[in-house]
Amino acid sequence: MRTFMKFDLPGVIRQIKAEGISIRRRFVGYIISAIALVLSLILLLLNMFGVLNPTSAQITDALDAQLIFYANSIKRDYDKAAAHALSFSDQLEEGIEEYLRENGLTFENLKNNADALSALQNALYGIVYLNMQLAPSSGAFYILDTTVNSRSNVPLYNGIYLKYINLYSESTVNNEITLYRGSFSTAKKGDVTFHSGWNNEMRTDFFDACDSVFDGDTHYILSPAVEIPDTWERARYVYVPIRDPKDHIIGVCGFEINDMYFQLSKKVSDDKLGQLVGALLDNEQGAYTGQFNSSRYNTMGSENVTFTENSRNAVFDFGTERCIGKTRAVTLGDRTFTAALMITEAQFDAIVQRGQMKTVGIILAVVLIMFAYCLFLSHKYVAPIIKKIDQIKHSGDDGEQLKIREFDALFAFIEEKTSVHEAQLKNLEAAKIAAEEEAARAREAYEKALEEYELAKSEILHLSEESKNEIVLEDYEYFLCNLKTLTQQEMRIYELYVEGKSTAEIAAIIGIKENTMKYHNKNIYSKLGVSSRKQFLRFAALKQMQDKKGKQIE
Amino acid sequence: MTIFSGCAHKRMPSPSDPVTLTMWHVYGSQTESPLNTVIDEFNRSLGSEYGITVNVVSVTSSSAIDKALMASANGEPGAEKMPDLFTAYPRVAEIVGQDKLLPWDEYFSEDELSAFHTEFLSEGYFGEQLLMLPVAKSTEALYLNKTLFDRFSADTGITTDDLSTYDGVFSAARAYYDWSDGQSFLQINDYYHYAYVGMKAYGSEFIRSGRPRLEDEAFRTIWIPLAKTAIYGGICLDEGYAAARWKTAEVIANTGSTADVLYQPDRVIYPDNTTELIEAVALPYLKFTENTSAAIYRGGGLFAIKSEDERKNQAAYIFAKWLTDCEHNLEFVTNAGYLPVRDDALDALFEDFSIIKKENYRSVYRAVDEMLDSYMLYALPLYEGASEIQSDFESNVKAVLKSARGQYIKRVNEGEDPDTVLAALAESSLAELKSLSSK
Repeated sequence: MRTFMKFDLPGVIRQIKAEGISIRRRFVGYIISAIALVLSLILLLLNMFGVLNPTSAQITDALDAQLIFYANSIKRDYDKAAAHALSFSDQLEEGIEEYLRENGLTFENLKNNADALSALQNALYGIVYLNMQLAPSSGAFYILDTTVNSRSNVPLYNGIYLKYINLYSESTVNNEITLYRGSFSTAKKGDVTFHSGWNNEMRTDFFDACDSVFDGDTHYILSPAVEIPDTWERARYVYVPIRDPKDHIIGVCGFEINDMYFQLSKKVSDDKLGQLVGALLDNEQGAYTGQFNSSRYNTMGSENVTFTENSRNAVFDFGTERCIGKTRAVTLGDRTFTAALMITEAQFDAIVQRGQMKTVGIILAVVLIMFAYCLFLSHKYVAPIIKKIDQIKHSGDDGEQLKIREFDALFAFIEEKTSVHEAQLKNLEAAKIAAEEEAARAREAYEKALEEYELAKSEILHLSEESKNEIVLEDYEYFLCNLKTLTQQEMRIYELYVEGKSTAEIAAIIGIKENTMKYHNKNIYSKLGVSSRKQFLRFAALKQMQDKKGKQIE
Repeated sequence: MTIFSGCAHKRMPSPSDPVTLTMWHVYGSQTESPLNTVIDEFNRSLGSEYGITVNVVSVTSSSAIDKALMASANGEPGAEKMPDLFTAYPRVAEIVGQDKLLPWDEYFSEDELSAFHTEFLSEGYFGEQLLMLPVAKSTEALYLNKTLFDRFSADTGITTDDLSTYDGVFSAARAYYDWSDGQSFLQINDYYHYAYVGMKAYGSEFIRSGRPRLEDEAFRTIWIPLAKTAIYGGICLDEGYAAARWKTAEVIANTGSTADVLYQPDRVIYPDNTTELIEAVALPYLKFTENTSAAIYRGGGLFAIKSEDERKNQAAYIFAKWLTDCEHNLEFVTNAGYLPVRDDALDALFEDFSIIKKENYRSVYRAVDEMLDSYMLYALPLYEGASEIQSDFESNVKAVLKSARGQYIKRVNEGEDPDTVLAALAESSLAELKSLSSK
């Protein structure tokens, strides 16, 4: 581990440059490079064709796919409710007209006429009940622009509003109903229980969004999700106008889609992502509210939700929680809403993390397989070559073949060359031995000559020492004083005598005749005051000894 | 976090791997749902910490839950998938199948379970397994529209002191019928409970060997005064809850669960859309005799469907534990007219009524406080077919009395003596009820 931690790449590169790289490493490097290249190409192609997407993109794609279906489902259901509402309106118009005709009344006659309005409700109750059963809704209502008590402090509309009591399924078949708004006699006649928030009539501000139905000529309106007064519920309403025979709008009818019904009818889940939070959002001046398919988000979403969109996702901020999702515009009635699907940010992050772990796992597995494969190839291909080389290095070729033609030829060539070189080596070694013997002999002769020389020198010294006492000091001083009187040629001859050369040798060295030599000897003897060669040599030796001692003293 | 450390070895939900629990419950009127409020608080706090969302997909009645569970269990077309959590009476265990229900005792420690009120907890055991966890219990009381009663009282001299026994209330009901020109005074929301407590008061048992004992003399004793009052017109026999009839002053009193306070309107609405604010009070449950004070305590509990996904089971436990702890349980039950289920919460509630915000709720808890001191409280017996027998008994009683009421009006209009007709119809209605029940 320490080695790994201190891995010195530049050093390794320098070493490789200096020493080269082993065949095994080179081979593994090439194979890894090749596999990595192929893998990269495959990954690039998979990515280009969208097969290999990051997990976050996969989540977005899954949400996108689900959202198309989800938004279409919302549009289909609300359009269906609107179609039912238009039919509902037609039936009510006929019912009202028939009732007024049979009773000789006009619409204006209904105002402050509790009996007539109750009787009208009784006449229309069956229509409301039937349409509520047919439409995908949690309630049905109609209101007319009239009241039993126009003197009331609060402006009121008269009508019937029925709701299901026990919603626990999208299917509302056989669900009990309750009278949320309507007269006492309507409840009695319809044998329907009162809602615990029951009132006789509806405040005119009850359905804020339906004012535009009264004002204009709209096919249908889908309201924002609003609190239902005197209940804990919220709902959207599908509104369509009710007209009199002269085409004046006299009321509004429609259906309630409360949060619970939305939850039950708009469940959506994904195999990979699990339970999804779906919503139909209203944009009110930049702030969003809406209905969600989860009671938790319905509570949070009843307050303002904000969301920001980037190129891939929308991020929904509920204040205490964030979700990641997708949005899609849906036009319902005369308004555009936003359909959304989302998952919590924590869930999103966890799925992305799981995806990343999977990718890392796959890459690790591929790398491991790659290494294993390299080792296998190395074992099968490089190891025999290295073994063969080792064998050749240590014990020569055993003749066994690698079954790789180029290498077998190479090793045969190396073997042949090796034989030649071995023969040459043997010759060189013999020559070397002879030379060494000759050198030994020369060294022995040299040592013998040196020994003789040393012996001669010691004899001379001995002689010098012996004759020293026999020398007449005056003669010797004379000798020394006149030594400088010698000519150059005579001094040369003197030095050669000192070196131990014979007369003949000196004559030969200088290149003079013996007679000339004799002449020079005579002059030298004369100048130095010596009478014989023996005296001459004794004085010369003595001087030489003194010169040597003087040098030593210096 | 550490409170759940005992289960750390099990797979727990987490924000990165969230769990959604669907829930059907009965704790809410159409106007308010205190449990939804508390669940919302759970989702935002501990639920958020654990990645648990409790998704309420129905707030309904116990009978509707029974039907829906039956439909789900039988896989009927259009039926919803069984919810992960639901509140119901013990009788649903046989509908759903005990093996499909989560045994709470495998998740709650012995210490945790010992904090519960013993009687409430014992109702939830099926054999050795705790399948129904008590989350809220109720008893019964008499509700009175005091504003309208005071007018009646001023004219007749009948006071609330006369409303402590059934005999007193039946007398007042007949007097009110006469005074109001034909309005019913009382609605009894549950005749099965009336019979069960009444028979106990007379030393007998209404249910024995899994069937009602209508032939018992004690039953006749409690039936005749009831029948006479109903046939006379003093008792409303229509379907539906009494609270709805308070709105139109169809009745001004009813016996019912303490939880009915949730449904009580604060005003009467007249046909011309004028309204009148009213004062509603709760009185202790009516006695059958002066010396026999008894009532039933009721209220189902929380069931969870056992899941193969252990995270869901853990999530159900975490939610149930949170809901039944003293603080959250009190917050929930005191806004719904129920009793808390742990001893420490019961003590806290009756030590200090100031924690109850609304006056009509305080009135209920004062009545309950009085009853806890001097009443015998009985749990309804659980036996095979109990749900069907209870439901049949209710509809048979109403049908028999409605029929008798119709005959009474007809025969009196035809000139027969009202008292003689009343006595005869009370007897014949009993015979008819016995006949219907034996089928």
